[in-house]
Amino acid sequence: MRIALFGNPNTGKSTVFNLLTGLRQKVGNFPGITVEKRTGTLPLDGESPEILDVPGIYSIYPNSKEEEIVQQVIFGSEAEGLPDLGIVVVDSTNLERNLLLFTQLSDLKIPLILVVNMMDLASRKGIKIDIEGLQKRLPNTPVVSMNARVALGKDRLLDAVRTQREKRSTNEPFIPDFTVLKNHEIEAQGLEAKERFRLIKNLLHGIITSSETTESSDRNRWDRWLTHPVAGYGIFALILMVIFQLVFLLASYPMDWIEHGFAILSQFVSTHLPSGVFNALLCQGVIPGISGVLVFIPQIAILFIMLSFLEESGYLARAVFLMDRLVRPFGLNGRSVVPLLSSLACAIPGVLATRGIANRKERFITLFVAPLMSCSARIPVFTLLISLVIPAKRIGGIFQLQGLVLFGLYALGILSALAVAWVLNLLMKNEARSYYLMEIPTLKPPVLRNIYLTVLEKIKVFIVEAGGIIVAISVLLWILASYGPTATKEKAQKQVKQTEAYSRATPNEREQMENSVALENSYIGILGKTIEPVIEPLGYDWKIGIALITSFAAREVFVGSLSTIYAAQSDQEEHTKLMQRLKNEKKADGTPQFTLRAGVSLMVFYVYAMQCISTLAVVKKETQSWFWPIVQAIVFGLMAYLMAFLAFNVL
Amino acid sequence: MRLNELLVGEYGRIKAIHACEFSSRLNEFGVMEELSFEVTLSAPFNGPMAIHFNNTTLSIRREDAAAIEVEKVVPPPFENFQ
Repeated sequence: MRIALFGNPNTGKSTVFNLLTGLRQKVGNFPGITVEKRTGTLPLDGESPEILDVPGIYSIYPNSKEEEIVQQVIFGSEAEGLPDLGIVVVDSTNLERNLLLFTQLSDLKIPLILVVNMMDLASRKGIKIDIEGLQKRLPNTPVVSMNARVALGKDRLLDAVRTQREKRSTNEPFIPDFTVLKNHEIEAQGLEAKERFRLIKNLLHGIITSSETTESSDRNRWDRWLTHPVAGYGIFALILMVIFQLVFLLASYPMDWIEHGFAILSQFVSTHLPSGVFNALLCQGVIPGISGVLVFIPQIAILFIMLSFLEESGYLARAVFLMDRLVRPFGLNGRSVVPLLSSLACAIPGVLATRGIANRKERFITLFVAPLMSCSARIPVFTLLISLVIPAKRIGGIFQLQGLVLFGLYALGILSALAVAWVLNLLMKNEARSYYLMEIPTLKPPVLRNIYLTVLEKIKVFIVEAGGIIVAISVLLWILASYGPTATKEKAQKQVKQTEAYSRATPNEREQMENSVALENSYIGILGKTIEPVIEPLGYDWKIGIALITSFAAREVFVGSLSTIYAAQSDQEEHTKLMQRLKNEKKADGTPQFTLRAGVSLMVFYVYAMQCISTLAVVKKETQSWFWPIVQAIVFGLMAYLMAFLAFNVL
Repeated sequence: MRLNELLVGEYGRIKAIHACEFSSRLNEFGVMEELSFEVTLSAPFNGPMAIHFNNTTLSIRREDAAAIEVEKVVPPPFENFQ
């Protein structure tokens, strides 16, 4: 049996879905498009019928190209056919508007269950609904009152599913002779809606009684502040600051545990397995690769706990309302704000979050610029380079210069994202007029179960979308770094052993020098030397070139690569030792390599460069074409080169 | 007068919705002739505005609101005002 869960946005539909399916759910895509398809199974009397969570809609008529395809899958004749049972979740405080979708579905001859949800909210607003009276007027549809937030009414709903299970629809038509999606003309759809609302008014006559409450003034008092011209933006800025403080503060501990844990594991495996190629592949390719995937999870989890808290509580709709006008000149929509914020953790969930933007042009602009928001993979790169070239002094007695530089890099990314969006807005054609109609939900305490399930899903998506690619690339890079043309490699190895420094070195240092020489003569070393003429104008040598190439696995690999190249010991003191080595590093002419100019140039390069294959793969998937990721890689690559060149030559 | 001319705290009733790409969307939201509402929010810098009716707060851009013809009315009670 196939059950479909319908409802307007903000009716608690997802809460009902989570309540019915718990962890037995999976997220995929509708065929050919990237609208999320969420399905789950409901354990019921030994059977497990499939439940499809239909994206929140106000009417069966599509709103965008994407919705059109979803609607075809659900209602179209060539698709799987109509669901065997529809559960329609309606908001009890707004029965009239919510019932529009219900009457349409009923006329499609789908057996239905009507779930009148959020009964607590209704009674708080002084609204009384005569459920029994409504049931009498809808004899063929079980009417179930629920308060899904606290799991109230679940048994009643399951009973209703049992009674409706085997039924064919015997619904009395609201509009006789109604055929599926007959009204293609927008005007006809409008007329149909009006006719339906007239019928709904009759249906509800005498069912709803409402008394005066003070709720309305209460609502306005909060919202006046949240959307206030000064306080509104102030609150939004404050919330963002708190979020990022918490992300940095809380995530650093689990990130350290993950990194250390995997370093220990790698050490353990390398000493306990027979040495050889397989051992090296495992310890230097696979394990660091997996560690490089997992280390992102704390930041992603913490950011999404807070974002979904804001979303669930209804605050994000206010932020979208506030920001819409500000971001429109850049071809963005108020709804672009959430994907762009997510991109500050990782561009992958950010790109996926653009699915909520109905207008195609606005959506593509948003996902195009999302990778310019500084993601968490850039943080280790920035921290290393800042502590290397920026002096730790205070400016004006208050501000840490190093902190200001980090802030500046974030600001550079955000401003560049807006600038690119502005240009794209001029270049792209708009296929459909952008309009913005958004319901602003009531502020309410979030349902923890929903937050937990959302965060779990985001992590799963990240691992699926990025995990494989990151591990694969780190294995590939390991191969390129471990092998090279044998003749030159052996010759170089011999040469280093004859040097004076080598003979004076301790066994440990000798090993490092050998490793360093091996890397220099590996394929990746040769690659680094090949690109040296290209990156020289930016102030980089071939060693930095190697680190740039390895960053394609994930940007933070830059740090690890540098420590291998500069033969720093890979233990706890790695960071300080690496710093010392980098500070002492001299160019061929004897001047220091990591000058202020070169360091800033490198940081600027990392602000722009599209060094993340996983993001490109996700963009390809979301836009259904190679065009966008290729343009992204080229445009951001050129910007990185140009801006880094400027930074190096102007400073 | 048009919806975008109303200020926060003022009440109105819809007289006509001029045909546009989203007029059926508005109808599906329950926004149609004879609906009474209150203007409850207005985003700064000429940003979107929000109207409240039937326990719903709906936000709409000002230039889109210009397609909705309204009359200003004195405060409630209205029959559809909750």
